Amino acid sequence: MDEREVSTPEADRGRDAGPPGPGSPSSPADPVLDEVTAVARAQDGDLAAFEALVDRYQAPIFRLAFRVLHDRPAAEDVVQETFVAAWRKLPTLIEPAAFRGWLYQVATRRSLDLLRRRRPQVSLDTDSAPELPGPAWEDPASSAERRAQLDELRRVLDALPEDLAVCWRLKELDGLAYAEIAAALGIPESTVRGRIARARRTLVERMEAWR
Amino acid sequence: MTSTNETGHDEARLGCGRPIDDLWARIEEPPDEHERSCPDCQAARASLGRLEEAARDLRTSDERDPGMQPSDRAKASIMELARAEVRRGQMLPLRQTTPPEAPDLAISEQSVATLVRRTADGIPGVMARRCRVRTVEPAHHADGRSRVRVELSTALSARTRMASLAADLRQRVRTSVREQTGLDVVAVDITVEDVFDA
Amino acid sequence: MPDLSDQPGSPGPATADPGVAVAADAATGTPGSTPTGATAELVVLAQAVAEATLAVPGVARLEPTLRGHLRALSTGPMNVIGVGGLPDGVVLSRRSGVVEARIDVAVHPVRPADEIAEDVRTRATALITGAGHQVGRVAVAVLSVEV
Repeated sequence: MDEREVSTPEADRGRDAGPPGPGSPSSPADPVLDEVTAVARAQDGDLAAFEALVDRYQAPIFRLAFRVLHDRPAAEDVVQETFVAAWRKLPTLIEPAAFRGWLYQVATRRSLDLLRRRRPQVSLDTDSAPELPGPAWEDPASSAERRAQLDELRRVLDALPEDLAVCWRLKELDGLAYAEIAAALGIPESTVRGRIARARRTLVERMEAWR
Repeated sequence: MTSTNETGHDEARLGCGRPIDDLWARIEEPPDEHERSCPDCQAARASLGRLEEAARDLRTSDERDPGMQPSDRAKASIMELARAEVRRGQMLPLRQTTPPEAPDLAISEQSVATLVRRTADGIPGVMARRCRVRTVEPAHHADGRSRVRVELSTALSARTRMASLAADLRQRVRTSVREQTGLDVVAVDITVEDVFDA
Repeated sequence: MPDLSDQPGSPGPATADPGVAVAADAATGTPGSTPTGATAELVVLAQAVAEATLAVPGVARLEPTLRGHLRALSTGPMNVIGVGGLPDGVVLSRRSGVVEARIDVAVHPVRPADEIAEDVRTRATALITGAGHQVGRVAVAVLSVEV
């Protein structure tokens, strides 16, 4: 039986409620507060709080892994391993506010490790990333020009050298900070900045060439 | 736009002398005085702006893509493992037994802590965080019931009246723990870690 | 399957007497291979204890803790029989003729957990002695208090 003692909007109905728990995206309360509470409880072994954290982060973590690996089952493995590691290591996390960055770092390292093990002959510095198929549903970009721009970004991103692409994606798509990317990759932060700058320049040049 | 060294930050500059990184750092803000009048900067802002827009679209597109979500299986096996490895933590004696160091009837600290958190969450304006439950000396009453102390950290709404809330919380914790476990809570230490609705 | 070399009724030194531990819950069917004689009896007893535990008012379910049990069991050789699929909630062990039990439960607090645990212990003890065994420690642990 699930113990859902973490507040949800439904549970709050009928009482003068405090802020909703971390599982409710529409809450007006400060999400950082809710997450710190959830992490603290999960540190204590509270399964419902941990489940709320899984709900919040499993999709972004999956996307992070999928962008590196281009493989659904492998990306799901990374999700599973990352959260299991989180459950086991949570009691040792000193600062609950550091949870998100820590989770992303673990996921990034595992994804890259898996990538290296799967393609041992291909170094991360080559241009040989596989072509991603285009999406099969309605894009958020409303105009034809924006859709074309998005398709072009996908195309030039695929052709980018992997070491630049990894850093750029982690910053622009996964939302990691420079320091977090550096820690995840085990390289100096200045190197991360340099790679992202080169990535941006290359992407702009190639996209502009299309124009 | 060619000079970068691997170990330093990007040193590339536009024709007007402005570093590209500076331009990028300000891409989502309105153009500053220099940028407003400089054709080099304007052209660069336009290009970088298009990249930024495309990146945003890519992010949103991925978020909405049903193929870019993990299956239910992933979460199910995560939770199954977490449940199996649920940390029992300390075991608290339920009734006095001999020998006292190996109680025959015991309850996990974890389950009492969950009970306390559930009780505290039921009070408007209170969010329970970490909870510890420990036996105190002497460990048992004459009738064998165990004596424990509860340590609870919380976040409180600024709209609550702390003094009456603390008393209310203590009372409810003592009652619910006694009714549901038989343990006698002799003290409830409440720590307020955070305030919200301030 | 482990070698079933227990000899009920013959004490001997602890190291030379590999005990038997049987883990079972009420829902298990026949084990992977059929244990014989005294060990089969223990399997049946473990299942009976599991059923009786689930019948105690307030018991929600047995909790999976086989690994924890194995660590907690006395040192020395122990033949472990898992009945049905692991994990299970009732572990009986027999060494030198003495049967001990470890039962982990989740409860609904229709009454205080200490009373529920006491009832579980009483019923398990009665079943073990009723089957003609000498009973040692019967430990009951409450691992979850449900809403």
